[in-house]
Amino acid sequence: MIRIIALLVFINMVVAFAEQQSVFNPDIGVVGELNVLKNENTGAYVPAIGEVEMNFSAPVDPLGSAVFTIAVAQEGTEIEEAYLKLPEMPNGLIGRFGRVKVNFNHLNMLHAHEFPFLGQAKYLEDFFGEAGVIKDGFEFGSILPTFLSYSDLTLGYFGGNSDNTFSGDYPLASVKWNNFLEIGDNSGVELGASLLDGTSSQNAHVTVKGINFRVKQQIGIHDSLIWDNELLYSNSDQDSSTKIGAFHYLGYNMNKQIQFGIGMNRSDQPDGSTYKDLFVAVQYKVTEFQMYKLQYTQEDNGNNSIGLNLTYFIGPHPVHEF
Amino acid sequence: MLKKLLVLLLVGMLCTSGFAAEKIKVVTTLSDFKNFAEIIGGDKVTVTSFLKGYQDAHHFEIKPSDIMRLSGADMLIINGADLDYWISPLIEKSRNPNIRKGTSGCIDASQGIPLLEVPATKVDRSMGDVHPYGNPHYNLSPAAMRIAFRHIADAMSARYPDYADYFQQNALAYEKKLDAKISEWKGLLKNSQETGIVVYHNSWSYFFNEFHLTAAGYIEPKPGLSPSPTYLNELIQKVNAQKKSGVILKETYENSDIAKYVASKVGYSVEEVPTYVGGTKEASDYISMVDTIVKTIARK
Repeated sequence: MIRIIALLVFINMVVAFAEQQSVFNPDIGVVGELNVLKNENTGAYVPAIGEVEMNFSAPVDPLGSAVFTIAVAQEGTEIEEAYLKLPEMPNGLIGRFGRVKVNFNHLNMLHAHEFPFLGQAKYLEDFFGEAGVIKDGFEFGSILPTFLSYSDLTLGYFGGNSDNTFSGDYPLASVKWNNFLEIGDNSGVELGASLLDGTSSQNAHVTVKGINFRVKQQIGIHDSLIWDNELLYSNSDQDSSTKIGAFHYLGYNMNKQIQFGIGMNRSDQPDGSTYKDLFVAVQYKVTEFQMYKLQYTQEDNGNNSIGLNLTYFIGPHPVHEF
Repeated sequence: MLKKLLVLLLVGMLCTSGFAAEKIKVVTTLSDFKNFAEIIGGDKVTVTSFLKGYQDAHHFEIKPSDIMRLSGADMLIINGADLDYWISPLIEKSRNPNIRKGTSGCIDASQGIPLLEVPATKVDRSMGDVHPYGNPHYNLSPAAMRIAFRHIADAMSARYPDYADYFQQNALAYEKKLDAKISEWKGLLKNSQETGIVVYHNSWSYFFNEFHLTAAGYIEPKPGLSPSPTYLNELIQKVNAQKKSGVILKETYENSDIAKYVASKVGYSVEEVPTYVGGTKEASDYISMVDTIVKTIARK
């Protein structure tokens, strides 16, 4: 009899624990990748897994939520994002506090696995590293009154994380002005202007200005056309030269499953040379959670390559906005 | 004279803007609830819907202008049951405390509706696009939508007590009309049990349940999964084995090539039907939408 009571008490505890877990556990999403890319040293095509991205998110309390994104790669583990988001601050402000993808142009705010092409946009990678502009600090955003369909302004103050352009030992200020114009039910134009102001690891004052321009046109019920352009101008008081980075992409999305695209990257290198490439990419989504990408890239230096990528997700993941 | 005209113009503008400002701004995720809110709210509301009737509610692409639309809303009506899951980030970005989930400004229309196909075991994606709270496509059941309609009417009345009598009067008149139509639809479909009906997605469970119909087959092997050639051959064999004449009901946002291929192999016709208000020209409101579906099936 005592055993039965003990068993019932134990079952009750397990059920209570399970219920508590389902209430308080965060949403957990994991993204895996398999790449077949040209090896830079041997020129051979070698399969290798890409980084595994783990995402945890949940409300902290009724006032805010937290997001943690951890990237695990062969080279090590990196905290890509770790921030508290407060969506209902006074005067309609929205705040993010912690390590964030800085509000700079459009692609920087997304994760590379969300792109319909392989890897990171080359100009972001060259100027800021593979994950783009990621910094520690805080930012505040507000919706602006506008005659357009939407306009917002985000100001940030960061440090803590060095990249190819900015030293994390000095503060970095960011400004992003984003505008959207809806044209009828089926198309929209997004225009953004960004500014990053900080100091390089050589102690030089660096200003990076960005412009992003995107047009999206829905064609019929199933198809859409995307034209995406991003520009970056970097000025340093050390050599007073201007370095330019650019990304252009034109894609056609068929039936929300297949996307064909052609794109190009351009970025000025530290040694004074300029990298240029042209690529053709096809993305096929078997479902929302399993997709394949095939890309042919022709670089200006004659280094041409084909790349294949498989991306798969488990758990919930944020709504894609590309 | 000019002065008088200007004063008149100014007074006119102020009056107009005053009246416009008094209207309750309601935003809905689905066009069906836009139709309901307009019926209940009459001239006291302005209603907009995120989704057009011909769009798939599972895959709504959020635009920045949608944030603006929601930031000025007094009320939000959602389908709930995880169908319009994309509304959560929009609510957050809108910075509008009036329509936050859990407040009286956010009406979850699924409340009170007995959901079908609620998973009894752990849900995972090997089952396809299974919704963890049950099948969310109750909008194709007029009986379920009558419950949703009543819930919306009561919630709007509770939030705006000054207009409660007006809202209730409008709601009662519509319920009477809807009840009469439900009886008519049941009569029209009473002899359709033997009609073979092939559909794409399991969004028809509520409709079939209410009108005692069965699906001869589904074009999707699992919810949200595109069919493989092997699966389509199996489906064709299964439908042919039933030896019925029938129809493939194609939702406006689904691929018509696959439907035509299957139809050519099983001898069915393909009919594009609205599954949300505004899905086709005929479906200008909820009653005409269900009318279109019922008459399409009853004709077979």
